[in-house]
This record gives sequence, structure tokens and C-alpha cells, in this order.
Amino acid sequence: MKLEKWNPSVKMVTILICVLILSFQYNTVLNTTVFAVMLLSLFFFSEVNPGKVAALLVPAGFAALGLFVMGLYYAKGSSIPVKAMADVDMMPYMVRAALSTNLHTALQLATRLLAYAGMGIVFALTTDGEYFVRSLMHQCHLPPKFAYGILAAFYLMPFMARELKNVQLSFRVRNMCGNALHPNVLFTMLVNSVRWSESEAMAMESKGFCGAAKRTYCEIPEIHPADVIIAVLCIGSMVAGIFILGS
Amino acid sequence: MQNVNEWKLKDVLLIAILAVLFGVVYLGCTYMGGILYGALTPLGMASLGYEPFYGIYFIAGAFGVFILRKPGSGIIAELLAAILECLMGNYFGPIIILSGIVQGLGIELIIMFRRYKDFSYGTMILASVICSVFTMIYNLVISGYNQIAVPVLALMMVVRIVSAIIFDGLLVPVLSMKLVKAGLLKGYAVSEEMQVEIDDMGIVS
Repeated sequence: MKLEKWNPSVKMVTILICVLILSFQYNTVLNTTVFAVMLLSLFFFSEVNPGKVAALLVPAGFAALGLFVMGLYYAKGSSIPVKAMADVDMMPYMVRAALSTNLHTALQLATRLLAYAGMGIVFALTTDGEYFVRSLMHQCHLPPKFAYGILAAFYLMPFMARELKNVQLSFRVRNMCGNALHPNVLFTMLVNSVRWSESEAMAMESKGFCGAAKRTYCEIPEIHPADVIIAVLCIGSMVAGIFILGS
Repeated sequence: MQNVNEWKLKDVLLIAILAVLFGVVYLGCTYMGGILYGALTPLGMASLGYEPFYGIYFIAGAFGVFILRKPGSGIIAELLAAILECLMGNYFGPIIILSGIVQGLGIELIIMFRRYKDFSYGTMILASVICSVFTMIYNLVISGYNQIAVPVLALMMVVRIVSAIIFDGLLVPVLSMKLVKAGLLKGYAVSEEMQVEIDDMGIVS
């Protein structure tokens, strides 16, 4: 079974359970293994374009690098002043000793982030947004009002990004601050948002949408035995990994 | 008669659209945060780079609870925002939903204790501080920040609290009140309660 076919709600719950298990483990090898398995599963069990994986791995790698350096300098118990790092040759023995202790913490932090990112990337790239929301509606009992509200807002996104650029430009041509966080810009966008939400609600209701009434669906996502088997395999292998590698 | 605590479609759409709006704004800020992150990486303070914008994470929840003023509005607003973030393809995937619940709870807790009746600046600032503390506890457990030296964490906490106070404790009430005065939030709890306050002060005859 391809990862794209895996029921999104089961996929989400599996990932969340794995994250909770990992958050209580301090095992660099386990983290790295999870990250590697996630990447391999993307290449062997999905139809994802490797370019898209790389595009998400760059910011994740960047964030991991930041955490790595942070752990290296400022691990609990043995922080190193930055000025002591300036000259490696002149680095006192104490600094080098602290660095080697901190390396373990730094690797733990960075690999944990990569493991999370690996799981997140599997979800992000193998889950169709609409299928996910429909699955939330049928498997997690998300009320239709919320499900369709989310989808309506989601499809409005490109339009909103364009509108934000227009608003920023209109402030700038009047020699006013066009920063997205400037209250004037935010206020204009908020006014637009309130109007859009009212128009969209009216449009949906005028087409007969009623969140409370019982309705029919053209396609209902279901949980198949294969979905559960994959979930059990994922969680089971992570628990087995903890016992094999030691915590 | 419709229950006042029931969510109407326009409530859901307002919160979802605001979540998308702040998602777009946050995306713009991550470029600024990214530059700071890059500059601070050699100093070992990379994570501090995103802290000045951290308050924007909670803004959907803060707006939700401030405008709708019904039980669960902060948590539901943050959940909607987190699901939307997932749909936008965030590389943390469903982990965002976990942090959304923590953020929503952080923003709503003090307002819940005050029975959704006190929405003064003091309450909103306190909500922002509690939310910052909750998210830091989440980071300590989930992100492994418990391995980082306490002074660095304290510095991150201070910057996060200041950011949350500016964006959620002050900006959210100011912008919401401006929207009410512009007559845009008619039918929402914030508008009705503000009208009572204005009437009590005798500003509107």
C-alpha cells in the first residue's frame, strides 16, 4: 500500500503517538533511524517527487543546525562563553572538554528535530488536504460546519496572499509603512477578512449548506485493516527500537 | 432558540480566515526570523531568532476567544489554525496540532477561570504570559529544551512573553475594538458587550 492511501486520521494519530514516545527518549541513534526510515519510506512507498522532499528538508536541516549549535554551546550544566570559541588553537582544555560533553546533547536535539520533521514531511507530502479534512469529519467526528469552513478558508488563501500584497503596496505608494505587521495594514486585512467570512457564510448557506442537518457524502473515507496494521507496525517497531538500542 | 455558545458557520469562517491571514503574515515574518536565526546560529542562539514573532502563533486563539467569547473558542480557534497549517504543508505535519491545543489552552485558561466575562487588557496580558509559559513547557518536553542551559531558556522565555504581550495582550484587543467601532463585528459577543460598556459610560445616547 502506498502512503498516500493510508487513512489520514490513522496516519495522524500514529505520528502523534510516535512523537510522544520519542519526546521521552534521549537516543540519537533512534532519532536518526526514524529520520532515515521516514525518508526511505517516502522513496519506496509513495509517489512523492524527491524535489519536494528536498524543499522541505532544507528548512528542517537549517532548524536542526541551529539547535545543534545551541546545544553545543549551551547544554544544561556546561555552557561555553562564545568568546572562548573564537580561537580553536587557543581553546582551553576545559572548553574542549565541555564541547565533547555537549556534543551528545547537541546531537540529541538536532536529531530529534529531524525525526519529527521526517514524520511531518511524510504526512505533509503524502496526504491530500481535502482527503485529510474529510477523514477528520468521518473518523474524528469533526462537525461538517468546521470541516467545510476550514476548506473554504484554505481555498481563499492564494486570494488573501494577493490581497495582502495589494494592501501593502497601496500603503507604500502613499509613503506609509507597508509592513505586514503594521497595525494599519493588519486592520485593513482584518476588515477584509470579516467581510469575506460573512460573504462566504452567506454564499454557503444560500446554496443550502447547513452544518446541523444530516447530509449525504459522495465519498466516505474508511479505516481498512491495512491502515491499522501499518499503524501497529510503525508504533511497534519504534518501541522495539527503544528496547534494542536502549534508551 | 439557538444556543449562544453554539458555533455559527460565520464564526467558523471568521476564525478560519483569520487563521489563514495570520498564517500568511507569519510566513512573511519567518523570512525576517530566518535572517535572525541565521545570524544567531554561530552564536548558538539560533532558536532566539523566531522568539520575537512567537506571539503571532497565538493570535488566532487570542482573536477567537476575544471576539466570540464562548467556552472553547480559544482552543477551537487554535485547532482550526493548526489544521490549516497542516494543509499548507508545514514540515512538522500533525505535530502542529499538538502545539495548537497547548497554545489554545494557554490563551483560554485564565479567561475560562474568569467565566468569559473579563476581557480587560490585564486579562489578555495575563493570558499571553500563561500561553508563553505553557508553550515553553511544551518545548521543554517535546522539543527537548530541558537539555538547554537555564539562562538561555530564561532569555528565550522573556522575549517570547514580550512578543505575546505585544501581539496578543495589546494588539488583539486594540484591533478588535477598532473593528467594533467600524461596525464590522455586529452580532459577535465582543460587539454586544462593548456596546453595553459604551452605553454605561453614556457616550452613546
